[in-house]
Amino acid sequence: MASVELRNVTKNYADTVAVAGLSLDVAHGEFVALLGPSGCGKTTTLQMLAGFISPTSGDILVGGQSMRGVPPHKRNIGVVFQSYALFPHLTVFDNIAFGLKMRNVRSADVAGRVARALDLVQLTSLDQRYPKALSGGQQQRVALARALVIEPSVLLLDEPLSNLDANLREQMRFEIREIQKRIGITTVFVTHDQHEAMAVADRLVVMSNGTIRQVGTAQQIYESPADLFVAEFIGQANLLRGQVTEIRGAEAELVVAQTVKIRAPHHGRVRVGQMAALALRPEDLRLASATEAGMNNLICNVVRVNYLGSALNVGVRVGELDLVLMLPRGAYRVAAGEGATVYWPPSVGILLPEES
Amino acid sequence: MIPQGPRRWLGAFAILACLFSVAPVLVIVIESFTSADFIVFPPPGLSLKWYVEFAKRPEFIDSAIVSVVVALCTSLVSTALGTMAAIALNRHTFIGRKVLQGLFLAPLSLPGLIFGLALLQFLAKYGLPRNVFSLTLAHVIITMPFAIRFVSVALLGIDANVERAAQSLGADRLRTFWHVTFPLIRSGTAASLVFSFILSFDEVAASLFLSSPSAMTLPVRIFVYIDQNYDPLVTSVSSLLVFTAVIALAIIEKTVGMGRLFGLR
Repeated sequence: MASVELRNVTKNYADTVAVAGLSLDVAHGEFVALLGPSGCGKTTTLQMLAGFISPTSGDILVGGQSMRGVPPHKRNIGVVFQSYALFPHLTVFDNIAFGLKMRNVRSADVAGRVARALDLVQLTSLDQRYPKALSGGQQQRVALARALVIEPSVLLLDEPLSNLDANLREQMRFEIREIQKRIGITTVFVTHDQHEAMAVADRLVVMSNGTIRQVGTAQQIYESPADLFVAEFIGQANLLRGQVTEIRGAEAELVVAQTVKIRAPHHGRVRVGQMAALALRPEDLRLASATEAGMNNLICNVVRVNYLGSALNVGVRVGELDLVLMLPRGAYRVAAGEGATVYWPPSVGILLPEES
Repeated sequence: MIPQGPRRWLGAFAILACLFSVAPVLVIVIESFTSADFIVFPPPGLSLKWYVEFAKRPEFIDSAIVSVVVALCTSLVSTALGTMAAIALNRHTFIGRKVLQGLFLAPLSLPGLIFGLALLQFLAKYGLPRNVFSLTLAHVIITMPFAIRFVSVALLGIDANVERAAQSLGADRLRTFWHVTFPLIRSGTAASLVFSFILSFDEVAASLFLSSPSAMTLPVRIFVYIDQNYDPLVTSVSSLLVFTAVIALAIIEKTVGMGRLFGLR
């Protein structure tokens, strides 16, 4: 078990920057998810941690020790790949025993440790099967057991659930979390799926273009995104873009859709005259037949209504702008094609400056 | 699915094509069991006298030994070097990779005759002898493009993450190759071994320049022999070449399977 530190890590390829000056501390036993769209540098970062590629500059420390020049086979880091990457010519038992044999563990001990690893991932009876005789979920469990049996100091998971179907993915998510907690291993998880990241990780690291946009818990990132990229990438966000016309204490006034004045909470992020966007979550918005006093109101046309069981997903159009609403079941009843008013209290939403 | 009628025609066509390519070889093989003292088809009677004649000719026996030794060495060296080259070309990125790839495959486009002549001049210039080593050298150069191809195809068929997984589990490069990569590309190396052997065993053009009276491969010996003689001895010697190739292929079919050799499964 060990902490992981990335110090100003940069990776350049011929003429592209894959990772640009990334610094991150992962505490001992912590579960961190690197989250971002494809090409954001998350997988490159993971491969540098594993030692498959080396940083152009900067340093990676595991348990306080620099990994510079340390080849992958001497790092004692467990890796689980999206493609499972099991050894097709070896049985489940030999797949899991591989790392132990490379460490010259006595063969008497190997059987016991493999059995315990199989038990951990609940695959006890399948040890003599070959990987191709296993389902995707079973293969992923074997890959996890194989990575954990060597008692690595850090566990790296590279999109481990992306090849599984939706139900299995949810189940595996919690199992991975469960196992990680039980053995308390420092874990770095790479994914492009925000729900997955939010469900398993202690902290999320949102990345784009090789840099970190925000680090925080799921709640911090969802409720107070650091910038518009994070606001749009995590969860669904309706962005009301406009110019800031006035700031009064903790409240700012914004002109959206050319003429409509709305009020928004001000956290010192914008200045008068600046272009800004108010990010509103679909569940922050409400619908009514007429304007509500004391609220921000926008006259709209209802474009679509989707009944989701637990909630109502409604799409409305305000001038040129499309908004998405998530209404509770007992809410105001609307049908597509009707006119209505979208409203929300001035205290909700996050006002962020437009990126230049 | 092809309809019944055309399928029958296609089948007949395939059989005819096979017959057409095998028939001349069959004629030679049948001819080799002739009792006559001259080449005539069909043979007037059957006997093994031309095989006995072969056994009585030390120069043919010597050539057969030279051919087998050269083919075995070629097969091993070419496959070993070809495997290393294929790994370098497919698993690593380095400056000049494309150039090297082109160079490795270049012998494919070079006429054997010209290549043999060039190598002969090279040997002469440095006062090197024409022997089993120079023959092997020539055959390795000729067969290596095939070895590289066979192993590359096998390498492309395996997930590079499998090798990374082995490394993360504590295997250095050598152990990763030995425990993971090699078992997974075994069909490619087997194909390389067999085809390098057959190509070397059959090679005439370059060997023509590089053979000397003391080290002459069997095809060259036959070539030289029929220049002056025209008797059934060449058919028995040729048949022995055919039998060797058939035995080699039979061994593969029994061990690896022909389909797997070409990645068909």
